[in-house]
Amino acid sequence: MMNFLWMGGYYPFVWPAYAVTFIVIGLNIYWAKRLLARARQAARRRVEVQIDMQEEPA
Amino acid sequence: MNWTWFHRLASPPYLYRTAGRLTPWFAWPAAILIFAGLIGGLWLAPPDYQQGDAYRIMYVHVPSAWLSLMMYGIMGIAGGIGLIWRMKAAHAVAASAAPIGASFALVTLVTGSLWGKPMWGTYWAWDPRLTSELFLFLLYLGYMGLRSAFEELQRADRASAVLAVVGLVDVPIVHYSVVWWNSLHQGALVFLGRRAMPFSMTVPLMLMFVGFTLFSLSVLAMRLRAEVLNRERSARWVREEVGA
Repeated sequence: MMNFLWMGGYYPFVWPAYAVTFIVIGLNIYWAKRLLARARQAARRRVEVQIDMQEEPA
Repeated sequence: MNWTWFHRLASPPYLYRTAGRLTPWFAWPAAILIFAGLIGGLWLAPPDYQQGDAYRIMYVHVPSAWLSLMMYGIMGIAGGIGLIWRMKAAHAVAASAAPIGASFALVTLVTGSLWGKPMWGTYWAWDPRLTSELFLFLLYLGYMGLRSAFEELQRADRASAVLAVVGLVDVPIVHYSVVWWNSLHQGALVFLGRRAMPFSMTVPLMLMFVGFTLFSLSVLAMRLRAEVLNRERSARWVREEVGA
């Protein structure tokens, strides 16, 4: 296991490279999901406002 | 050739629903392929006879570089389609691709620097490949900055699409920079069937390559759905879709 983590002495370069990549992958998933959830929420709010305006007596 | 599928993609509700249906079909195979590629690249592939274990950075660096180019290609072509045929959906695709491409251009630069230090003795050199990739990253930032500078969506679409199309010229420059100029950067590892590496090293790279591609398409599909919803704020189909 130590040999694997040691990476032939290149661990200060190999592991940070993998860490950066997978942090960015994770952030991409998080941002995309949050963006979609917010867009759906905003759309739902707009539709609710439209319905309320239609139901209001003239 | 039947182009009906292409014309149907111009319809926002069709695009929104298709992107939603495709997301899991991209995401799950991507997760499996990246996991298999990681096991192959970090455990099963032997160390390189010259670079030792440092070459394992390749398994994240090369697919990230590919994504940075592929996303720019998608952005530029979609921007061109949006400009020529005034297709709003194409502008939505271009706007959704930009943050993904920018993030992977940054990963390419960072992982490349981390690979460069033990191999070349420096984190950075003004080499044609490195410089053109940095320029690609700046193009992405410029594209996103330009979009946010306009309040009116149509003007933002048109102006940013022009930049995306003009910037397409950098994509072949990044790719062929190692062929056209004397470069510190190594040449293509796998090109048109000619392999510069043994099978045990190539297979994990291919798995990561396909995995990263599918991953980026799944994120693109999610971003695209959000972009379409924001653009179609007053459309009737949105009411049915959000279930209000």
